[in-house]
Amino acid sequence: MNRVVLRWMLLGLVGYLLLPWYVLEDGFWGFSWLFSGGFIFDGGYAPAWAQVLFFEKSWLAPLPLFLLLPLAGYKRSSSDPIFSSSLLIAGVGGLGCLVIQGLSIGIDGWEFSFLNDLFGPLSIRQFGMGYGAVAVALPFLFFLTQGIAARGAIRGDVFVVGSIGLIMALIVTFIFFPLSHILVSALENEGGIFSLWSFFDRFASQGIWGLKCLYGGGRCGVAWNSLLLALLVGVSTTFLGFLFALVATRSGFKRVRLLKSLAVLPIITPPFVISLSLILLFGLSGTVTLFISDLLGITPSRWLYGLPGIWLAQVLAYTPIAFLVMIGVVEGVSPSLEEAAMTLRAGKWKTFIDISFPLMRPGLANAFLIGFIESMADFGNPMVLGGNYDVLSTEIFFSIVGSQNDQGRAATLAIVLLFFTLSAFYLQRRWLGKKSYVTVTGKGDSGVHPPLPTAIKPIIYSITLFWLLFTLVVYFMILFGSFVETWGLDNSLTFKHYVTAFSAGLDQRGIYFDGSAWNSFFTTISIATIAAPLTAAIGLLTAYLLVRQKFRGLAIFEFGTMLSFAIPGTVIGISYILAFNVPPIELTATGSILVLCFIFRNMPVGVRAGVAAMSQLDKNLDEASLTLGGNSWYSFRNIILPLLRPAIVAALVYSFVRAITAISAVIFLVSSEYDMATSYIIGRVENNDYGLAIAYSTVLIIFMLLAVLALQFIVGKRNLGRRLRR
Amino acid sequence: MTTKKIAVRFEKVSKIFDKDVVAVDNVSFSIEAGSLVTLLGPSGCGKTTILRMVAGLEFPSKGKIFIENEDVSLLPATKRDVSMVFQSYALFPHMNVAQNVAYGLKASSVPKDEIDSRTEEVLKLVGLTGFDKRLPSELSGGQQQRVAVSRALVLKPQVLLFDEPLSNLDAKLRRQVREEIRDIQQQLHLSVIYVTHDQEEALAVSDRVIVMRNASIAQSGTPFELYETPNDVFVADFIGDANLLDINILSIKGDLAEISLGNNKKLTLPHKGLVQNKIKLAVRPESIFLLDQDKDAYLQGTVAKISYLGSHLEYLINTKLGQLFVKDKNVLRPFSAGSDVWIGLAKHGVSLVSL
Repeated sequence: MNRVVLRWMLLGLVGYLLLPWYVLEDGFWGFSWLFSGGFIFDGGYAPAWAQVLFFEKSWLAPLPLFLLLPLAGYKRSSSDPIFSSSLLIAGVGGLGCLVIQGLSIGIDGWEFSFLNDLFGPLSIRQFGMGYGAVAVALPFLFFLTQGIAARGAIRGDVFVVGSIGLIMALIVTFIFFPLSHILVSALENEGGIFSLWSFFDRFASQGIWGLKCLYGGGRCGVAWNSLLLALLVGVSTTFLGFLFALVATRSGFKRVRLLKSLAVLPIITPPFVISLSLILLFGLSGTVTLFISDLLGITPSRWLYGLPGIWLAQVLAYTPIAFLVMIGVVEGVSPSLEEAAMTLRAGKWKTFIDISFPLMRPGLANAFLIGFIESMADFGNPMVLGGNYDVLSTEIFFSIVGSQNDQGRAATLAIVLLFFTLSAFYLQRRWLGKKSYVTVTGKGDSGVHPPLPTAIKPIIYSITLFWLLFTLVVYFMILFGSFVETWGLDNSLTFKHYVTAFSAGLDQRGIYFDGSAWNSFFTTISIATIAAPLTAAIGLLTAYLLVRQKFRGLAIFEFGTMLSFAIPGTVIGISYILAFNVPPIELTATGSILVLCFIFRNMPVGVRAGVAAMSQLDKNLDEASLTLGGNSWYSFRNIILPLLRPAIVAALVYSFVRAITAISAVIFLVSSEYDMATSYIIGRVENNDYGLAIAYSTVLIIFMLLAVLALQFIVGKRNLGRRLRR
Repeated sequence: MTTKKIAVRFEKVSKIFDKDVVAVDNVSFSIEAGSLVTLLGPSGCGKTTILRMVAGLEFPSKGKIFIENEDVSLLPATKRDVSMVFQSYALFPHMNVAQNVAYGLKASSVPKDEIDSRTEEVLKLVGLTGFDKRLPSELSGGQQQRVAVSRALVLKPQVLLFDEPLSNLDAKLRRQVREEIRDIQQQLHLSVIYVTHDQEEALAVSDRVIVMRNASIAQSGTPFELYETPNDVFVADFIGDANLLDINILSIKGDLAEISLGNNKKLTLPHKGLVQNKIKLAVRPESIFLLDQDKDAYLQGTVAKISYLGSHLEYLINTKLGQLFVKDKNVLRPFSAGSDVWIGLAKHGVSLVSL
């Protein structure tokens, strides 16, 4: 029995005896109950013991037993079996109790019909868990992990076992639990009865898999639409990214850094902004459209709305990502291999075809799969440019929002979408993991990449130059469009849109913000500010466990943490709605659900930043700290965290920026009280209020550009102190 | 001898990684307090794993580890009174020299004044007074090494561990630093376990050497015992150079065996209970002297190759027992290639070893 156990026990008792057990109606930050005095006798606010005594919640009665059980190990050493057993039983029993009561008793009494048959109907209802429940659940979790550690797992390291337990609990609660709700919803028929038949019925529907478009008459299923779009986008972005990478590394092009910095664009651009710009160019009243119709007398058409438009927007958006992937691969091919081929009398062309290209092939596949997943998951562009071309991500949204409100259909579509992205993710990890030919070794490799064969040089140059100019024009249009009265009709310059959105002023009461965008802007910033440090913390802790610790189930743990990369935002959004609308965890229409969504959507960003930085830290550093008498928590704080400062800043800024640009999951989770910038802009677009939407987007882009620049400034300075001797 | 304290004891310790990679296989040994013991062996023989198990960075899969008679098999590194000097030094790059040295004292909540005085004392011991505000990146390799040593020393551990501490230094510095380590160890009467793959280093600094092979102990003993009387072919070959010859045992009298190498002259050596088919004769290159006549010779041969190395000559001699490698100090009267020579043997550096 040690101080740590006692402290957790104390927290648990506070949670049980003092804090309101259920979620509060006035929100997470509502503290009115504190001052109401008699909150113990109010069923909405009462702590657990009062719920048992006064409100017949008898199932909460056994919890204190488990909370106090570790006292059995009082004054025993951690190697004593009684110590570990009492903790294990307390942890498993307590958590089991909490989970079972939470899942089986809900807002309408019993959640499962067999319980109704067994125990008779239950008239008592219970709400989602609140402060009290969380304060009781945490001690149980850490009792369990301390018990496991005391049994000798991970060298008995309480901090590491506890961290693994915490991360696993979070992943299960906020990724797997919501995802399981999709499955359940897909399997339920309209009456809420479990039915495999209704799933197959929905799954096999013409709307999803229909092929009518092939033999004339009608539209194809959304699954085929999404697949076709994703394949086209994957191929196009890979091709363009590859050409850019070739130009950057093999043409004597000097401004590689400039080219690389363009790759930051998709990170700071909300996903639908490119679509907006394309509308300004090629829409019915777009500049190019009008110019060509004047010139050639062609009637303007709506060709942009549909597959061509979405394809164009996504290729513009994701080419920089493909370029980043490809430049690593193209640089990674060892020049000495190419030089070897050339000394063996192979010409430039033959060397490229026989040596360079085959070595880059796995990288091409990787870039393709990333483009594929991004396109599948994209929501913003199809939402703005989709027209009659339905894809899975938007179709999910429309099935649940508005008149349809068909959860089963939305869930089924989500499963189809998840199937595609997870397959691509699986291919990328299993198949490419073994096939990487990247040949960067520790040895110095002083060779020089051969220049491109002269025959294809002009072609590559003209394609890349054209695309570069096109991208610049697109971004320029966003800026320019925000100052135009009504695009195509009234091209006079104006600040009107900025004023409408962001007007503010000063009167005798102080500063006031009466622009229409302020509300969503402030919400977005505050939610992103809360989410970013939490994301970075969880991501870096996870990275520490992945890189520095070995334990059984490490592979599954890693898969679980990286999984949310492959889960499209729409799927996360729908799963959060389905899972957190009802007890035991009620979060709908709160700010918390947005924060949680961002944390688990963006966690892989933090994990990747942490893993990359931590792999460069000599493992002996933490081992040295351990042998010098610092335990793992002490070492983590004093050695690893200070050395990871650049990674921490990067994780903070990127999770902040990603929280601002996110749309796909957010659009399901916003409420009137918590509206986010992106969903507000989408709303403006739907009302054809393009000027305001574009102005708002411009402000966001500039805001995030500043954030990223600040990051590079800070990290650039920090890097100097990090020289390591090997 | 019997009353000497034991600092570290391994009892049938095995370490298995990933279910089937045996890094250490049923190893037992004990290390006397106040002695410097070297674990010597080729890479991948399990010596570093043993060191890490003493430190508590790995736990044994089987068997028990005792430090000063306390069973520490499952005690994590943090709670063991053991310090380690890492091959990479593992100096914390964001802390200066004084902070690095004081780290362990701080972690175990030693009072501030004591931290300062002990830090100063130990930096003086290794000759780094005045360097306390420097960052590790501002020090030379040798200085970094000394910081690593003083960081470990300052905790006054029961056992001090060195993991190939000299491998990042250049050859000249290596000799100097290893003498310094040995001096400090003798001066403070420390119990030290020292891992290296360099046999010369091992012979130079150790009270005892434990030679490892394939996850188990091949032989342990004083440097003299290992060099003069290796147990088997592996040890003979790994420590110094050895000519390994197939020979016939003619007769056995008590502990001694009589052997012939071909000529009439016989050789008498302890047989250590070895039997005919599993035996070789190990002869150090400097224990062979070359004769120009048959008298007192064990074997006849012809010079195949000769190289001049300044301090000595090296010969390759073809004999009917195979090619012999010979170091001859007599540089003034070389045998020419192709000439006939006869082989004489010194009293030391010749022993029977098992296969």
